[in-house]
Amino acid sequence: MAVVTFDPGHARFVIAGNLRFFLSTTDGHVFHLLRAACPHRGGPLHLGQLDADAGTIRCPWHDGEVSLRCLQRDAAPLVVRPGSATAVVPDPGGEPITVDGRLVLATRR
Amino acid sequence: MQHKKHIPLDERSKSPVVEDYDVFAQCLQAYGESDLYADIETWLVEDNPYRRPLRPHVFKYLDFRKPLTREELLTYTSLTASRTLLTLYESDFVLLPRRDLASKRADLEEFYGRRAQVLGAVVRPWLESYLFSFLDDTISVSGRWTLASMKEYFESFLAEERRRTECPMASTLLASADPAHAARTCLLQLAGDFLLESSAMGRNAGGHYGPLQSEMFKILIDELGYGVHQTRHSSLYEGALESVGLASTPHTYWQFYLGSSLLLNNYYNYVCRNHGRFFRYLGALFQAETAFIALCRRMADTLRQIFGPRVDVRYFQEHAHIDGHHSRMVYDKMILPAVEMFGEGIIPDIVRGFEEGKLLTDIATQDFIDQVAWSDGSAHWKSLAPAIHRNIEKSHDKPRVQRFVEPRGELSVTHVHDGDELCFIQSGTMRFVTGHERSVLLHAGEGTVIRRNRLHGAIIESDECTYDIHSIGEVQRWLS
Repeated sequence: MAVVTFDPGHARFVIAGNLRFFLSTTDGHVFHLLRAACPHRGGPLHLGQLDADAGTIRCPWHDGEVSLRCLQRDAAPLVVRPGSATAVVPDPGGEPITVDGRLVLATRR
Repeated sequence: MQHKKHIPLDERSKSPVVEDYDVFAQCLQAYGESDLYADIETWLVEDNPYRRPLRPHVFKYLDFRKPLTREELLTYTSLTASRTLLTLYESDFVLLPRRDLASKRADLEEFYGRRAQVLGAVVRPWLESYLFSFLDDTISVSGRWTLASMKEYFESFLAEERRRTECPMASTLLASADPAHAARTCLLQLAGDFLLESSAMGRNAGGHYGPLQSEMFKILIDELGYGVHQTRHSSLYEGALESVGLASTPHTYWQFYLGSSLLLNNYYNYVCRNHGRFFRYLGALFQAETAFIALCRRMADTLRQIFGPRVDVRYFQEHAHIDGHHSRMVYDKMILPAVEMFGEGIIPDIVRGFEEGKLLTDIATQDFIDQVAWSDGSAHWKSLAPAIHRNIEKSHDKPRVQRFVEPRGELSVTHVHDGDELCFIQSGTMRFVTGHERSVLLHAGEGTVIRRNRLHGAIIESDECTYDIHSIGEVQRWLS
């Protein structure tokens, strides 16, 4: 396990080894660091379409509806407080953990 | 046989028990009708733990409907809520004056009386919700927490604490224009909590919760000095206060507590009074016991630097030592066994309490720093007043103004404003107070800028004083 701290106002994507996570919220208060790989074929869920009412993200590859509840159940442990976020992610085994500000569509903006 | 429909927890209302705001407002006003909470004509309340000015005449103008946001924490309504809530919480504790109980007996009866208890039972949950709901919106704890990820998270915090070299509180004291005054201000902020040392924690002494209870008790008996009064931590703190010329009876300096100091004190009662928040308290306790180690070490050094060898720093030395043990005890003997015993589902509560305690401590520290800076700048704020007043006179868009005519000795109990204000004297003399034994004298034609959220009071020192309070909103606007 490894701890990573970042500014959630600027960075919304975390890469730890071969795992990718993105920051998502449906209400602007509770944030989740969700696995970015669609459980179907690994599509980029962060570029999917969030439907907060239905509780799903539509994967951009095959239009599969992925349950937010399932994604949140397996989300990385995360704390978001004013100006900073801290997550605990799987140890990438010597590889650096990177955080970047790439486009995330599957979140309330 | 009919069964009531079960409502899942997350679908139930999160509102306080009494949902009718008008009922709450009526109870709050009725609670404030007691003489115990009325305005007084002195700055200090010596050796009477029941008397606490709450400015109850203002209650009816305040709106507690909507919980505070992070940005509103230091407003006047928040200060009132915090003062009132702490008063309510402390009616659970045994508070006795040192001397002359007979003359205070009626106050005691009223403070603990049935009327106060009944009204308090309605008022307290509202004020808790009003003050602390922002934490839910400000701190998000999510994801699949496991024992391993929690350990990693806290180990990271401990490593950060070990690396920490800066202490904003100590730096502020040393950099102040009057370090001794700033240090006394700091000590009296902490007195609200430390003179009742561990009273909030003591709420967890009872009950039946296995080995955790025994571990909690070990920490508690350290705090209470193992039954030897001279070694009680509150006794040590009394020594610290007295060594720098401050009174050591609880809440003597009630009027000079910053809203954020009260908020932090209230928080520990909030998570300890309702045992449904027990796991949050474990997190908050771990944070406090750990962060206190370095803080106390620095405070001992800083107080000696400021006051010399006469200052009694035993309280801080004791905590610099024993909290090393307490931090370890809370983590190894309470948090880890609790997770093992009750499952990983309690971890988000523990982490939440930890983060909440940290956030509220940071807010209180920054508020203290801002208050010291504003108080240090009294001469500057006074010097700006004539020019601002001239600009207001010339302006076509004048700010709201209230005129007051007050007699000699009239004391305005300390309070804050939600925006910048200009206090300008038309006639007579006012002593404008920015802290305990710190003030600036204002004569006719003089005034001062009262910055937003800064605690202040005033007393009239002429037979009569006429002064205006201009609600200027933001001081910069009136300086050009």
